[in-house]
Amino acid sequence: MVKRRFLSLLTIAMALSSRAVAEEAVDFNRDIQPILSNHCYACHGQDAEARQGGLRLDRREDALAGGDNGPAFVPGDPDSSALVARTLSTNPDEQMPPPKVKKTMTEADKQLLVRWVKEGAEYAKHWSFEPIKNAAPPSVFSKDWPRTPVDHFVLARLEKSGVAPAADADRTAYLRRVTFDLTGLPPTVEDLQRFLEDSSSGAYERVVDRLLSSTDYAERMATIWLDNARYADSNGYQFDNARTMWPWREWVIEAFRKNMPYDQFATEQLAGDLLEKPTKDQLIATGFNRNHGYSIEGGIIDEEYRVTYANDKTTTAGTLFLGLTFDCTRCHDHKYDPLSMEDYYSFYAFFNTSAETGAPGDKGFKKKAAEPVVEFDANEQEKNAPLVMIMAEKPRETFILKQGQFDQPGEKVEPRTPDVLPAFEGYSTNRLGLAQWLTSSQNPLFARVTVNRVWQQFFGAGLVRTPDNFGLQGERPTHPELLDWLAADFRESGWDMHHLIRQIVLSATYRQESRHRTELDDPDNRLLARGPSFRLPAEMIRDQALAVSGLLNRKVGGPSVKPYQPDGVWEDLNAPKSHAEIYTVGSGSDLYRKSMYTYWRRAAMHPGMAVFDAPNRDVCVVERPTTNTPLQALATMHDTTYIEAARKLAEKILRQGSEEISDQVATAFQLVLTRSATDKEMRILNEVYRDRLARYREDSAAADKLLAIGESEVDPTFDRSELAALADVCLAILNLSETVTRK
Amino acid sequence: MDEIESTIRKISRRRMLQLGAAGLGGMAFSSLRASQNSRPLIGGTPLPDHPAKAKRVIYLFQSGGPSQVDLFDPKPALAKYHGKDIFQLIEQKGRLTGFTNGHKIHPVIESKYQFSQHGENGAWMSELLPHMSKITDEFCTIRSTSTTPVNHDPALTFMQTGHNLPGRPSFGSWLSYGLGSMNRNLPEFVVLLSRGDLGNMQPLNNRLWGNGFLSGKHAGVRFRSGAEPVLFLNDPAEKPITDRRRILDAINQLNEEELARSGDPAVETRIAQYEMAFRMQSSVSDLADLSDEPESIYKLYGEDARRPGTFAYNCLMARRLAERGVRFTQLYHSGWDHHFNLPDHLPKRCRETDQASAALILDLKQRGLLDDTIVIWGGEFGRTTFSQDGKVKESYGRDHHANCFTTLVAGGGFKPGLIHGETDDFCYSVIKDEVSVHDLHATLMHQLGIDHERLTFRSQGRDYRLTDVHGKVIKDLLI
Repeated sequence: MVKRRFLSLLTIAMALSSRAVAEEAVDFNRDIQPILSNHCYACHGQDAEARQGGLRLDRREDALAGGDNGPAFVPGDPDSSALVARTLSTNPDEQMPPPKVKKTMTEADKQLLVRWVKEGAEYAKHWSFEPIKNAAPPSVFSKDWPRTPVDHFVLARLEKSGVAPAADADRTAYLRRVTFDLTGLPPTVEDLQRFLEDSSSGAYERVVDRLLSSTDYAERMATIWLDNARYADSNGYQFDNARTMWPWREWVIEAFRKNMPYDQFATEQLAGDLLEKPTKDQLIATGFNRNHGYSIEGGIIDEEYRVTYANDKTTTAGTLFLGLTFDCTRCHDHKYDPLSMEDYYSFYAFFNTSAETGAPGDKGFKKKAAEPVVEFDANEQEKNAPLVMIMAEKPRETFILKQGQFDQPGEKVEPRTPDVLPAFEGYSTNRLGLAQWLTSSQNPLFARVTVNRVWQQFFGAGLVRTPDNFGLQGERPTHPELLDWLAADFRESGWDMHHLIRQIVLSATYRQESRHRTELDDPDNRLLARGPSFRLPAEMIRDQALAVSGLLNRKVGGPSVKPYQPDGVWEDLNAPKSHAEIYTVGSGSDLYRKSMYTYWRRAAMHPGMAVFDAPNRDVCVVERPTTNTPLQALATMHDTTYIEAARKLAEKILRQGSEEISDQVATAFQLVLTRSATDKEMRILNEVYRDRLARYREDSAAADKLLAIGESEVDPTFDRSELAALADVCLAILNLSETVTRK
Repeated sequence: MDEIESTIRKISRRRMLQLGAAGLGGMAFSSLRASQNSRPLIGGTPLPDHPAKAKRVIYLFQSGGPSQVDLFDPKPALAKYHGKDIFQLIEQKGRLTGFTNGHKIHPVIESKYQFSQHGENGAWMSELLPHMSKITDEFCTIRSTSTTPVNHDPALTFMQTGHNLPGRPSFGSWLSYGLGSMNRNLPEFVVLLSRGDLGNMQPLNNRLWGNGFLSGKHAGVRFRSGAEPVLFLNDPAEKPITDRRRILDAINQLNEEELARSGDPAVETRIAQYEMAFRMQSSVSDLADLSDEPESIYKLYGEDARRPGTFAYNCLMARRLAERGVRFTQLYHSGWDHHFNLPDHLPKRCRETDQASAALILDLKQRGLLDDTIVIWGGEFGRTTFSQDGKVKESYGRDHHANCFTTLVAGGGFKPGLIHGETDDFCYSVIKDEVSVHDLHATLMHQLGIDHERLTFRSQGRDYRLTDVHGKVIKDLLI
C-alpha cells in the first residue's frame, strides 16, 4: 500500500521534472551534495557515533553496501531505490529526513535526487578538495569588453544568462572606489585632478600602481588581517587586561609594504621560529599564533586553558589557510565534511607543542604566563622594551580528547594533515612542515581561500560566499573556473599580492558602475553584472572624516592609541579596583591616528568601532556584517570625532577664501564625496546653510557650544556664526548615505 | 512628538507610493515591521510557532554565583557534619576549581543563617531575604539548576549564550532575531549594570550581551545610568529639537536623491534608521525621566531606586522598559563571588537586591504585566557546601559549584509558588528533576512561543541554536 502510493507520487514527480531533465545533467557537487549534506549527513555521514541504521551516504561504496535496511539506491533505477522511496514518502514513520528533525526537503530537491539516481548516482569529490584546474579563460562574444582575464569568466556567464554588463563607472567613481579599497581613504582633490587630466593610455594602471606602493595600502591590508588573526590589545576573557602585541602588527604592515610573497607571509607567521637562524622579525611574526585571548581568572585549571589555546591556534589556521570548520571536529567526527576527530587532533598536534603553560598570568601579564616572549627593539626611546609573545617548541605528546575534554585523553596521534587532502609526506612533522605543505602546489585550498578573501575585499562578497567554509556545507563558488584561474595565477606569480590585486581592480568587471539593476533578479550581485557597493567598514568611516578635515595623523605603527571615547565604557564593567582598566583619552595628534591603531579592548570595544560592526576579535573573523542601525546615526551625528572633523573641514574651506556660500558648500561636498554636487543637492545644502547662519547670528552662544567641541583649536580668523553654520553643513554631508558607502 | 510622527508618516507614505508593494517587501525597515508579530521564515514557518504565554523577559542576573545553601536550599545535615571532609561522605562528581582541587580536605561548613518557611507553599528562605520571603507564592523556585563550567568566564558565557566559549549570540539576541521588536522607539534588547562594593567582583564582558554570528542589530544595547543612557544619544552642541529636525530633513532629502540614483535598498534603510535615531532621543529621555513615579513606588522598591546605577534603580527601569515593549531586559548585579568571608559580603548583596527584586515582581503584577513577563533571578553557578577558606560560622568562604544551584522564575506562565527539584543532603548533586542550562533556555523559549529546535541560524555551514543540540522543555515548571 505504502509502496504503491510512493510510486504514483514518483510518477508525478518524474512528470513534473521532465522539463528539467531536458536541461543539463545533474552535477553531484552542484546539485546533490548540498541536499545530502543539509538533510542526510548529520545521521548518515561520517560521524560514526551519530550514525543511524548503519547507513552512510557520504561515500558511494557505503551507500551501495547499505545499512540495516539494504542499499540506499540502485543506480539507474529510482523505482527500486530506498533513498527515493523514503524521501518521497508522506508516511511520517517512513519519511526521510524524519519529520522530527525538522529538515524538510523541497520538491525540487526530491526531484533532483530522483534524476541523480536515474542518471547513475555518481559521486564526485567535493569541489574544494580537487586540484586547482587551470582552465584557459573562456571565449566570449563581446570581445572588446574584457580588460583582464577575469572578465572572460564573468562575461561568459553573463552572456550565457543573456545579461549585458553594466556600463563603466566614470573616472571619479572609479577613483573613489579603488582608493578606498586599496588604501582605506578617499582620494584627494589633487588625485582626482591628476587622474581626470591623464588622457594617455595606462592612466588606470598608474593610479593602481601609485596606490599599491603607498604605506596606506600596507595599513589597509594589515587592517583586514588583524580581524583574521584576531589581533587585540587586551587578553580577553573576564579581566581582559592589557597586553603588548602591537610589534606583531608592525610586522604585518611591513610585510604588506614590502609585498612579501604570500606563502612567506603565511610561513613566517605560522612557523618563523622554526626557520633556520630566525631573525627577530621572524620570531615576532609567530605572535600570530598567540593573538588569541588568555585568561587570568583565579581558579582555572592550567591544562584546560592550555588546550583551549591550542584549539584556538588550530581552528584559526584551519579557517584562514584551509577554509575548513575544524571547530566542529573537536568533540566528534565532522557531521558534514570528511574530517574525523583523528584528523583534527593530528592537525592540532602541530600547535599542541607550543611552549606555553596555560597558567593564569598576573595583571600586567608581563611574566611567566606570557612566555615564550621576545624583546622588541622599539624605535622610540622606551624605558622597558616591550615583550611580545611568540612561539617556541616544547615536545609534547598529543592524544585525541574524548568529547573535546582536556582530561579525557584517548588514542595517541602524530602531527599530520587531514586524510582527505593531499598526503603529508616528506615534510617535517612540525609547524614549519605544515606551512610548507599548506603553501605547496598540491594543496588546493590555501590559494583558493586566499584569493577568495582578496576578492571579497573588492566586491564585498567572495566568489565563495562563505569565506570561512569551503566544506560541504559552504556555498559553491559563483564562478568556479574564475576562482581556480585566480588561484593558479596567484600561485604562479610567486604569490605576488600586487599581481593578484591588479588582475582584479583593473578588470572591466570591477570597473562597472554600481547602480542596482532591479530589472535583474540578482539583488546579491551573484552574476557580477554591476559594480560592487557596500557600506564602508568602521575604520574607513572615521578615517575618511579625519582625512577630509585635515586632522588625520599619518604616523605609521607604534603602540595603540586612545581617541575620544565617552566616559565609563571601560569603567562600568564592574572590575574590582585591583584589576580595573582605565581609559585615558589621548591628547594632541594621538586623537587623530588611523582607526586601525585605536586601542582594541575585547571586553569593551571602542563604541565608534563596535557600532559599525568591527568584531571584538575574540575569535578569527573573515567576514564582517554590515548592519544599518539607529545607533550608527547617533554616533556620526553626535560623536566628538565627527563634530570636530566637520568644524575642521569648515575651517579648511573658509581658508580657501571664497565668500560665496554656494562655493563653500560645493567645496565641502566635493571634498567629502569626491564628485560635484548636483543642482538639487546644492539647493538643499544652501538652504540649510542659510538657515543655520541666521540661527547662529541670532544666538551666538549656540555657535560657541558647537565650536567648543573637540580638542583642536578654533581658527580665530573666521566669523564664528559662519564657521558654525558651515560646520553643520559639513556634518550633514558626513552623515549622508553616499558618504559611508563605497560604490 | 506629534510633529515628528507626522513627518515620519509623511515620508513613509510617500515612499510607499514610490516603491509600490514590491519595494516595501524588500525593505529592512524595522519600524514598519514593529507592530507585526510574525517574523521572517525560520525553518519553514513563521515565529512564534505556537501561542506565546510570555512576550518579554527581565533577567536579574546575579553575577559571581550566589550561595544557594545560604539563601534558598537549607541543609540541616551540614550542622551535623560540620568540619568533616565532604568527600569522605559522598563521592566526588564533576570538577573542582583550581582554588580547591589542591586542598587535602574539603570541610563541610554549615550556614550561618537561619531559614524559615514562608507563604502558602511553605518555601524555606534565608533570613537574608526578608522581602523575597514575603512573596514566595509568586515565583517558582528551581533548586535543581545545573551547569558544567566551574569558572566564571565560561559559566557566564554558557548561561548567557548556551555555550562556554566566546562567539555565540546571547539569549536576548536570539529573541531579537527570532521575534523582532514590539516597539518603535527603543531597542529590543537592553542591558543594565549595577554592582555592590568593589570586593569579590567578577568583571563583565560586552560579549555576554553580544550578537555573536547574528547581525549586529541584534546586539544588546547597554543603557548607562545618568544623563546619557545610550551612547551618543545627546547632541553635545545641544541644538534644540527643531534645529535637529531641520538638519535631519536635509539629510533625508539628500538621501532620497541617492536612493533614486543608486536603487540601493540600504539607502532606504538608512533613512529609516536616522528617523529612529531621532525618535530615540525623545523616547530614551522620556524613559529615564522618573519624575512621573509616585512616592509609593520608592516605598516599594526602596530608597536606592532614586539613585541611578543601583540595582533597585535598574529594577525600576526594567519595569519602565517592559511597559514600553522592550523584549529582553538584562540586568547584571556583580559581587556574588564569595570565596572568602562570605558572612561579610553576602548580606550586603542581599540588602542591595532583595527588596527591589520583590518589588519588581509585585509592581509588574499590579500592572497586569507579570502574566506575560518572565522574571528570572539567578547566577552562573552555585557554591560548595564545603568551605574554601575558614571553618567557623563567622567567617567562611565557598568555592564555585556547578552541579546544583537555585534559580527563581516568576511570571510568564511559570507555576507560581512551585518548588521544583531536589538536591542531596550536602547540596552537592541534584537528586530529582534536574534542570540544565539548556533545559532552562528551552523552557523559557517555549513560553515565548519558540520551539528551541527550530530557531536556528546558519553560520560556517552549521545550523546553530541557543540550545546547541540539547535542551528539553520542562513542562512541570509551567502552568
